[in-house]
Amino acid sequence: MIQDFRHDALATFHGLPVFVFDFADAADLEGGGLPADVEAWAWRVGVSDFEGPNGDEVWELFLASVDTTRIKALTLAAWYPDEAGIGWPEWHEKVIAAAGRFPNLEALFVADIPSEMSEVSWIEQADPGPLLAAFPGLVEFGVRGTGDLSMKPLVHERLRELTVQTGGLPPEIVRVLGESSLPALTGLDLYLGTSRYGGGATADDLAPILSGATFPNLRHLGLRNAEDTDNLAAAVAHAPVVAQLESLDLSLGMLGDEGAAALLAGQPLTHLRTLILRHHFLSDEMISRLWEALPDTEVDVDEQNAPGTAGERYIAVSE
Amino acid sequence: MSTLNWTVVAAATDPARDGWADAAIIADVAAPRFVTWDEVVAEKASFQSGETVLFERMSGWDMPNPVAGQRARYREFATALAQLGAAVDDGGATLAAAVAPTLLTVDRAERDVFLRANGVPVLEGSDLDEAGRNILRPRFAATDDWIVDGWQKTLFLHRARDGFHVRRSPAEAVHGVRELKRITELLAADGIYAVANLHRAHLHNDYHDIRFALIDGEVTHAAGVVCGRTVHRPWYGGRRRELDAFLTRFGAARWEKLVLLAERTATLFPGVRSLGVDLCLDNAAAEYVFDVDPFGADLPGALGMKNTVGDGVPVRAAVLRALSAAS
Repeated sequence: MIQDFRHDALATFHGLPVFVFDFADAADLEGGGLPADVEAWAWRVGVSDFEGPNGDEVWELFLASVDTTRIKALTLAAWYPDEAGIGWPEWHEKVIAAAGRFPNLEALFVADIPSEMSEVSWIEQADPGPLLAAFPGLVEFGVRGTGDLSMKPLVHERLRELTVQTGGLPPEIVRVLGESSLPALTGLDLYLGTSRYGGGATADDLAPILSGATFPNLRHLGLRNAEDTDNLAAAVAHAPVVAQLESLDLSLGMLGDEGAAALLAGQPLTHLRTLILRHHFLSDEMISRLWEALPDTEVDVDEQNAPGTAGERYIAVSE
Repeated sequence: MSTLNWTVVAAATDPARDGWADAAIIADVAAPRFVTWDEVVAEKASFQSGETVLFERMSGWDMPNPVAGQRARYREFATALAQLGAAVDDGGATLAAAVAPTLLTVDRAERDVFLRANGVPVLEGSDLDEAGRNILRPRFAATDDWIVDGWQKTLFLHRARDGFHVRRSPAEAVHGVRELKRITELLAADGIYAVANLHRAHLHNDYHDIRFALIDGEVTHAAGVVCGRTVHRPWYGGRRRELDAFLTRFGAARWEKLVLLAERTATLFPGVRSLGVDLCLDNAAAEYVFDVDPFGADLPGALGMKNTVGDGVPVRAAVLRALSAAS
């Protein structure tokens, strides 16, 4: 799945190192400005400078100077230099108009913006549905920020991995995602976030996903960056989807001993290859219990925070 | 085509092999003969009179996880390099980087003592207790590299069933003083090089050090490298906007000062024909040698300056031009 988001832009995407294309002046490209092995990079295109050009200038030079037919992975940076959180409808429109020039695009990430340019909660995202429809060959899709987002259920025949990174994923968006038709989906990562920034999805909102019926081929489920991780863990403990998973990710949230105990008390988890809990509030004793109960599972318990009370805990990505 | 007779010693899986093969085409010289470090260590490598022998790192280009073993790998490298030097001497060939100065450069602590004694400015030493407020790097950097610059780091603590390990991630990780202290404790046995922090020059949207490639003591290539981060796969081609910003802000005189400092540094490592020198600088007038790389400057994509042996070609091709001219 896609590299964790904390505050940086992606360093790698779709297994490729990211090349930053933020040029609007052709003179910047003289003297070997672009690597020749186009397909060996994930291209991050857009504005990365508060005083830079607008996205349309960068996009035009990109299309004019790079053999986009060889590109496998593309991430979209900011459209406007001074307001990186907006401009997504314009961005989507431009990319959709040029879709035919990317016949080999396998992976697309929208709003690859570091927090120093725009906090994730400030990103006013556009409906990703038309983008997905324009790229039927995509197998990996990710989006950061869901401010002001309204969308219809996603439909895509080939998409295998979907990531939504937010500081607060609106419950209604979670429900819409649960109505999506993504028959090839094997990996789903949702950053659920905090209710202070529009999040607050509950197990009820996630019910279609947890049932296993919506995404029958799902092998990895990430319910990440959640305030309510303990209750989510309790729901996951009895969720039918778990039986089909190889990897379960409850990281970046507020998981404490209560949630982990509920997880262990539920259905067997020994079939999991990985259980990712990093950034948690577990005690040492509970970590030992997890290791003991899951001897053949790789349990990621990095980033242990002081357990404290539920009121003192925090998620990894919020504003 | 040049008649250069040359060999590259590199591990079998080192991507630098492809870099040298590409450079041969650009420089219009015959393809190199490759010898593995394993062959050198097993004393199965032989060299011939008239042959120029370059060598790459023994390991570490693939950013191994967990982070550990630098000191042991340095010792292995020192032993292997001595063996290589002896084998090259036996055959009457020539090393493109002399053994003693190469080893000196990859022990950052000894290197700084040496540079300071020769009047070259380096950052003041610091203490591990200052972690978070200083700059930490592995002392022995021939085979492995990481950096903790202030709070910026890509290292993190990984808790495994058998204890804690230090690992690196592709993205920056920021954690508290407690974790940083634990990381330094775990890495201390391998040797940590600690120096005082410097508020670096801000050039085109980021904080940069300046990396120079020097071939036979002359600066041929330069680019700004973003401070405190390990870039997964850097690219330095095209117009270097951070260097434009440098000239606009500080002028040609300060640039010349940097070039002279890099070239003065190179004179202290005789026999290393391709040297990388990183300088760190602040927004005022402070300039220090930050790193010295005996494997040549890592500046993929960068083309050399006009009127130098690197004019219009990448670093490795420039090296081959220089070797050809001398052969």
